[in-house]
Amino acid sequence: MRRWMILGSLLIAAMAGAQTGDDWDSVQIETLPIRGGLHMLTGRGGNLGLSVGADGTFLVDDQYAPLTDKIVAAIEGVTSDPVRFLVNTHLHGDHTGGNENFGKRGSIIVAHDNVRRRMSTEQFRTILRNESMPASPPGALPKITFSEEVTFYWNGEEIHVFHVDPSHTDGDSVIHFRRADVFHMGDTFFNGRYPFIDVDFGGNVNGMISTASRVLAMTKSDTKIIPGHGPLASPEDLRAYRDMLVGVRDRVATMVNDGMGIDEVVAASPASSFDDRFTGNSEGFVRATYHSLSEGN
Amino acid sequence: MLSAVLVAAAAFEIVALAEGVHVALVRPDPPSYAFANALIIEDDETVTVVDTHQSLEAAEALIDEIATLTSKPVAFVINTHWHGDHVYGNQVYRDRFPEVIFIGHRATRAEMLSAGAARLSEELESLPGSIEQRAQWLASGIGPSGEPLDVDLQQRIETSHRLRSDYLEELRELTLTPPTLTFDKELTLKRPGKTIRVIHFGPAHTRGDVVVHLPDDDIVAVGDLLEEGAFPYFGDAYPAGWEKALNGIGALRATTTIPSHGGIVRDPRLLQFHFRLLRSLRHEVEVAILKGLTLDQTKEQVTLSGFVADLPGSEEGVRTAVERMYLEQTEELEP
Repeated sequence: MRRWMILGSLLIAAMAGAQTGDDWDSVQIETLPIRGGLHMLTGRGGNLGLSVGADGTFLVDDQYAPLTDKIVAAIEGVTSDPVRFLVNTHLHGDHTGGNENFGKRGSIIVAHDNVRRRMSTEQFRTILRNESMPASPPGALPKITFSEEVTFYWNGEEIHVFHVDPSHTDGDSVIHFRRADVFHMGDTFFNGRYPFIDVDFGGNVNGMISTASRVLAMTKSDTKIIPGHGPLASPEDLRAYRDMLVGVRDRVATMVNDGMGIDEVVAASPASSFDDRFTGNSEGFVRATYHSLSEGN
Repeated sequence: MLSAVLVAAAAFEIVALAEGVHVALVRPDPPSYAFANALIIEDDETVTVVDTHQSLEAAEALIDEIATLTSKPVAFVINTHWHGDHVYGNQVYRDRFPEVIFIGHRATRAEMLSAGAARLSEELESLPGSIEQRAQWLASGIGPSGEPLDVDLQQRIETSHRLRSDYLEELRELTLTPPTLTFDKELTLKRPGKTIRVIHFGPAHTRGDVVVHLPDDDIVAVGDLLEEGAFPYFGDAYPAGWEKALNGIGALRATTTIPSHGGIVRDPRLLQFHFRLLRSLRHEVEVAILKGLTLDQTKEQVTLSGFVADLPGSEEGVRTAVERMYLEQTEELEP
């Protein structure tokens, strides 16, 4: 678990320049009401989605284990009902670190089959860097897993959880609260930031693009989108992000076709023309894009 | 009320299949509105029940039986498809276990809210007449074909009258309770100490059939995809898809199969029988269509006589099967 946390902290630090270290005390959980009983919670790590209502509390992602008490307190500011369902958008520790704590409190954890599969055993990274992550404890593993999609008729909502093409990882899910027309896209969407694409865990830039396009096609002008990281988004924000992905992907693809090596591609700064709108680790994004395209994916 | 529950309790027999796994087998006698077998799966913390009976009394009785097996609460109910004998009892579980989650295929939810609601209204409309009819037979002493009632027929009509009257009372209390958690292809419940796979192989007996597979126990509950001792019901079926679903069941290689109707099956010949039945149905209807036969002519011609000899009352069932296959092949049936 600790390695996960450190990894997650480093990722967030790298992506967003966030404060690192174990300074959990300073983290504040902010609650942003959206509509129809839906809220976006922010603290440190991935953004949370919260649905409250007659059937019970429904949570999307749970950040880090040391933040669980603060997250629970923030939820209690909205509802007195405990979390019945907890959906993980993917396996990374900044989205699943609180799983074991919530499981102990009686929440049923739901995720794609590949999330449980990868969390169940030690995982190794060899492409982006060399490191390993230990298996998660049994209590942290998803208890309901699905292959394609699952829908909850819950709190008067239709909560449609669907697996998407390998994007950020190979276990990504997007959640659509259909009545309120609010999406939670997990880390398939970094609003205003260059994304982290975890090619070691099956992520791929082409899937990032197809997922962004797929969700974009489902949006209306007033749709609200909770990104994995960054502020609450509009379809226009998602469109700009998708277009940036396509722009960088196409430039890198040309370079790969021209036989350029990865360091040459990075040196050519194929993302620089987007730097005015997107912050974060463009080099990491370019490297992951290169790996996505050069391995026959 | 108490006596009705006792009658309902006698309607099924609890049989242990594996550690923490029981089946409630519906007894043919005494007659009841239980109708479909239920699977009871106990994990380290909770209980999962597959299908909930047509009769609310029977559902109550099964929950009481479960309480004699374990003090754990029922946390999940899985509906194999939308027909009333598999879902009407859902509301009893909701009343007894407010936290229970109902799981089914998304088409099961959709069908319950449309075709299922329509069928319930039809039942509510037609039952009073059929009860009144039976009351008249009993009062006049003259049976359905104009014959004087003998003791045996009188008893059967009395039983039927009582069952229908009780059932009508229940239906008036019924609130269709569709799955709250629906899925498309496959869902796995990783319960502590038990893995429960819920798999949809495509439209078959209905648009939303699922089988419940316990991989560690080699058990599969197949709903109405296999019938033991009766001709399968095709009224809402997609026969070509049904063949594919049988392939999916076969690939699970479970040693114990629980059909919703009939007994525990450990003989692979039941699956083979259904394969051959569906293949013959497809071939014979194909030939009839190629010959240019109309639907009515095809229903006359295709009798599946080699398959139905031992299955009582199957003539109407075969005609329905032929009709669904004919419509499917002539593309008048949209899944």
